[in-house]
Amino acid sequence: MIKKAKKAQQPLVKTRRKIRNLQEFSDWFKKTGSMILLSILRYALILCIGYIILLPLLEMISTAFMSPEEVGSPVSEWVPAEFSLEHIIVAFRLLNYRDSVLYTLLTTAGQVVLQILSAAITGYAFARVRSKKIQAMFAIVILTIVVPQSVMVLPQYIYFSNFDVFGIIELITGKPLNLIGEPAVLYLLDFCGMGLKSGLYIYIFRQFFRGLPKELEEAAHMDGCGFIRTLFTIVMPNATPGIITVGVLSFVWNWNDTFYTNRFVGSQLNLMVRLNRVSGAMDQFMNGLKNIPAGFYFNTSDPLYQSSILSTASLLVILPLIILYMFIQKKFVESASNSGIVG
Amino acid sequence: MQQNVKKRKTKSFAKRNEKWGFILLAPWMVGVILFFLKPLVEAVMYSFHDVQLDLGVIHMTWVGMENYTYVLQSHATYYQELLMTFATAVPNSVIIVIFALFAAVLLNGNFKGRTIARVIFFLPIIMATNLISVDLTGAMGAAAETSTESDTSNLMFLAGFLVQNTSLPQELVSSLLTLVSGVFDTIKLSGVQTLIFLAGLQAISPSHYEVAKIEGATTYETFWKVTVPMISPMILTCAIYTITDNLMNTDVIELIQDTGFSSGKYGQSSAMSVIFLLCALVVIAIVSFIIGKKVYYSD
Repeated sequence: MIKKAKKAQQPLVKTRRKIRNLQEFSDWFKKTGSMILLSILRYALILCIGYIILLPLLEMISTAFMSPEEVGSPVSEWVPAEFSLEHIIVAFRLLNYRDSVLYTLLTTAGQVVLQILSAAITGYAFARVRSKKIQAMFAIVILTIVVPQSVMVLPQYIYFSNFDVFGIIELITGKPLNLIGEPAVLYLLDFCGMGLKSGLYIYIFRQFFRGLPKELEEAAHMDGCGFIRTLFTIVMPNATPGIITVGVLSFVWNWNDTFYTNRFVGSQLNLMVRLNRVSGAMDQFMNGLKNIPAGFYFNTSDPLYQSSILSTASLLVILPLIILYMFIQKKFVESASNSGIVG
Repeated sequence: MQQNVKKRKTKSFAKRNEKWGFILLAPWMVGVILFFLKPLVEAVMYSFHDVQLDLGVIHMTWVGMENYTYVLQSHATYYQELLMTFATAVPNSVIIVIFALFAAVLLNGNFKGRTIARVIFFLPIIMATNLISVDLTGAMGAAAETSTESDTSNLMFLAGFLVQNTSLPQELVSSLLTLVSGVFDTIKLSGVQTLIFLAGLQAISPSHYEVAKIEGATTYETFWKVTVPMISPMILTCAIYTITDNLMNTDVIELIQDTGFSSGKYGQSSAMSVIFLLCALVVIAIVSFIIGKKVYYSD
């Protein structure tokens, strides 16, 4: 009896196994299939978005090397039939590029260093000092992020045009200083943590320092290392991701800023300010150019020519940023993901 | 007893720390007083005065609420531009935050070419400047006038096609199409937010996902039940940052600046900016209240 039943069962088990295998196979197929589909979808989306991001940049580059007669012709949309440096040379001269790029690099670098320093110190105090008074003041940092600068720019302008701290400067020189037109205004603002987006940098540094293990600092404290010395010899060397993130953001935003530079400095040597003025009065600036090499197209009344010169000038202005980004991109992306901008 | 000792020790340490904290914060506090609170109070003061600037010397005469009533009732464009600014900035911010989260999820996984994709996605941070984008669209418009024309006509054609051949309402189609044509602006403005979200995604411990997998959650469920709650504090940060960022470079600000610096009507300009500031603070408070209720803090 039992044997018979077993015999009858065996094929049943076999078919069951087969069915299970089949099911496993279909499950596997579903899984890998959906995974392949998902990754195709991901690549497609990344390609699309990447294309949208890169398109204007590529267009600028292509226009920069195109000869002026060719711009807008349907034959050569991307790769110019004959390369020409005319756009670049004219834009170069229009921006007074050689002098102004140096000036802008130096002033921006100064601002970045000051902003990093002040944001790191302030952020460290907010991250590590567990005192109610200090923690309560962090609300002001949030307020400085949220309040638009434009609200304060007029009183600030008036203040800087007769700059004085508690009457000290008037005592020494007899009259308050007029700081408008000096980059010192920006340095002062940056040092005091009130510069362009300084609040955000303080926030980033605070989050970053909070994520660092406390043990290192405690050990330093045990060994008799003072508070300031701990900050500069123990904490800061370990803060590279935070410094890189804030440094890159600060450099880029200060470089691109026209709001503060236009109001408080307005130097013609600042690239962004210069580009702003040039784009405002293209004809005037173009006609002011002298010694145009023979054989150049150089037609100042041609709007198409003007706009391609302007596009090339914009490319020249962001060129240093692109070069910087190319050098630092790997570190930047890595450190930004590790810098704990995480709220 | 032991607890008591511990408490005393931390207290003295904290006190020592507090002193140093104030020393470290000194430059920032000077900055807050001189360059933040002082101008803020002065801006409010100016808004109640008729302000004349004479070679850097200010003359103020008290006018009460006159500036405010003028700006809100008689000024030709201010009221409309204020409304328009907020009516565009808030929806734009929502779209930007959603897009940034989406982009961060796209970039987060382990796939080939990840580094290049990230480099390209963060490029907008570098190029995000108003001036350049204005130039770009201008240059593109002029240099390829024919092609942009055909682009817009394509869009119009598509809109007409959709309205005629599907039963979609026209308003929906047109708003969708404006969304699509504004995709470059969205992408351009969402670099930092993508960065923040990516950092947040990377901070989520893998064990959460393991648990979800073992419990048999689908990818969809994992996203809504694990990823979104874990990342919700960053959604709050991003939303606030995006709104403030979107409010920085707008027509209203330009109008305020023009009224102040170009026309010399400092009192009116200050009144405008005070109203703008109050509106901005109210909007930000509402947004942070709404999102703050849903935020989940794991610790």
